[in-house]
Amino acid sequence: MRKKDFETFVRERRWSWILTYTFIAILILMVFFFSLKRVPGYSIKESVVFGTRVKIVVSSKLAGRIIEAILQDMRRIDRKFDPYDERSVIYRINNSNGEWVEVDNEVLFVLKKALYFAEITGGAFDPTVGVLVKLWGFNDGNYRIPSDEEIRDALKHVGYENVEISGNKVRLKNGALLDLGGIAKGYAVDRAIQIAKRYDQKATGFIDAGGDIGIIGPKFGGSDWVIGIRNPRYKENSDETIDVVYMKDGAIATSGDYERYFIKDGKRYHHIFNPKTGYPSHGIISATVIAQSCADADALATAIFNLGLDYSLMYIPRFGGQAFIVTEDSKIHRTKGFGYFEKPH
Amino acid sequence: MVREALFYEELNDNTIRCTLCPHRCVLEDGKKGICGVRMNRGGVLYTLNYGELTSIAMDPIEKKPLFHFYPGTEILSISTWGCNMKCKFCQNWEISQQRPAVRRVDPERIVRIAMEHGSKFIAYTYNEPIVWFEFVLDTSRLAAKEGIRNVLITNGFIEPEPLKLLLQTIHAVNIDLKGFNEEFYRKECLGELEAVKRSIEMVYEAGVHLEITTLIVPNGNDNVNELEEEFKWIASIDPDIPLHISRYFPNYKYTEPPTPKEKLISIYERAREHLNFVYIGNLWDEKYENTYCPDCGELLIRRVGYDVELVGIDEEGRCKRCERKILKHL
Repeated sequence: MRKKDFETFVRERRWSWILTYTFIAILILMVFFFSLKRVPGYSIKESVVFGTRVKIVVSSKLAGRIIEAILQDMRRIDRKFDPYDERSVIYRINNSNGEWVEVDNEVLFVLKKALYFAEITGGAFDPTVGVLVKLWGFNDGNYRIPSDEEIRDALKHVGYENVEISGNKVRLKNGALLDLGGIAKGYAVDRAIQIAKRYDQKATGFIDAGGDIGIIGPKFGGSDWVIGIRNPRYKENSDETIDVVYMKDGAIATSGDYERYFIKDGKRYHHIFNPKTGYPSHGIISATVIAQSCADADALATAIFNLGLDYSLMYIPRFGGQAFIVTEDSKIHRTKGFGYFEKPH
Repeated sequence: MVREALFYEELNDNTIRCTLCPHRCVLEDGKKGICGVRMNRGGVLYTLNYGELTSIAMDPIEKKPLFHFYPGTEILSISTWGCNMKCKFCQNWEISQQRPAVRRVDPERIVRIAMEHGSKFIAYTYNEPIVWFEFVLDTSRLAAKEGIRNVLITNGFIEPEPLKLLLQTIHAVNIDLKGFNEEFYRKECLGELEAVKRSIEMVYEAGVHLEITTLIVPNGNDNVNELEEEFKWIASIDPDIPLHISRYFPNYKYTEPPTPKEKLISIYERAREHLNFVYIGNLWDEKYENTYCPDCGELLIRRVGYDVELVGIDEEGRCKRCERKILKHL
């Protein structure tokens, strides 16, 4: 009798145990699923602006609108700062015969930034190389090697000291020509980050405008973006990247002699000019700079070509950047602080 | 974004010495300095708070406090986090001793915000701007180019070389002189009196506008005779340097009750025996906030809270009655 009672008791109780365990299991599963953070999906769009491939990668509720707004703004900046577009403000300044031209705050901002970098790099970055760009045919693709005399003449019109700013007016002396190409693209990337954040403070992703990369926010909200640095002498069957950096914020820009160039008699002539000699600068074939803003990184990467290796390694950290430089003997050099970005953190 | 620091020297085996402030922290790889915002990674010193903003506000310039520098104007005030001292009575410990939520900005953005708000001034304040050195330097350089004047509200605990560099683009400084007792400085603040005195002298000699603040901490630095040594020392530099005696309130690790009013007034009176311009902060008593001519006693600037009225000062910054020079900047 006692035994029977016990069996009945166990049988009846079994169901309640099963129910309890099922309930706990469901609870654990629910906690598990709710604790999983939803991994944000990334919207990706590629387009061509600034004569280069632009890739926008955004994760946000408003990703579509952010991407459209960024592309629209980049095209606007491209037109506004294109020295060969008759509608652009730079064209107006360049063709004003030294007269004062009224400009808006945005142009003043970019121009002042360009002049700031010209000043601190002792002219290694110079926004007035427009005359040289034209002389060598980099404005329209009719490349040629000018005579020494032509270069000597052109150099009379080169020098950032020829840019004068007074209030909201700008004028160029000595027939100088502005070319803000070395900084406007970086500026557009900085603007793009601001646009993304204005739409959605929590947006993450990055913008890559032909080697000028700005981080909107860390991958999946907390991880590094892994960014490859292009091998400047990339050939098929060789490594396309020569280094990898890990970034959660900030910007990185690479300038290389492979971006725009022509080869004559086996010699490569590229688009980064030395404002002192009038010839494409030599010695360095690729310069990558990590800095707070993309405009800064862009300007400093260009400056490195003319600062040369030793000065660059010494001064770029003082200007707020870290540099990775490839010289023409294919050797890699880096500022000591660059190493921080070569590891995930 | 992390950014390489401007002042450090390499020792050996990836060990470095930060040379920004007199702590001169020796840091092994992976270690942070006392300030908590400078870190050695692989033999390179990085600043961790570049472009990290914790507070931004338009304040009356009197709130800094600066009483003799463009009185009655508003100033864009910004700060980050971290501090190279560890005052147990810190009045801003939420941002000085820990990392709160931050917003990322660049120097241009700060200058633009100042211009958009019509501010002719930027103050680096709330936490300790010395540990924000690179950002303050970059921003102040850009701001100075735009005709904006830069103000540093600091504990003055910095090495001479970086201070000299920074002073090139700084127009006014208020240094917090935390008493005149080396032991108090070391034990309660983790600082050094002599280093701060050196900074005060450097700021004065550089011709940068200077005011001094001393927070009176009960049972800490409130010995009147000891403070008199401070007043005498300031007077030996220039008795016209404005001194703000500030009332302490319990904060951070200190639970002493607020400084008694009578104590503040007795200290004020002792200070007035040596210095021409002494004020009491956090007491909200007009009498101790107004500026009077030290020669003829005329009321020159009336301050009620942050309402400021220049009543007895002419356009040259002189006393209207006796023409004594009072303000260099107005």
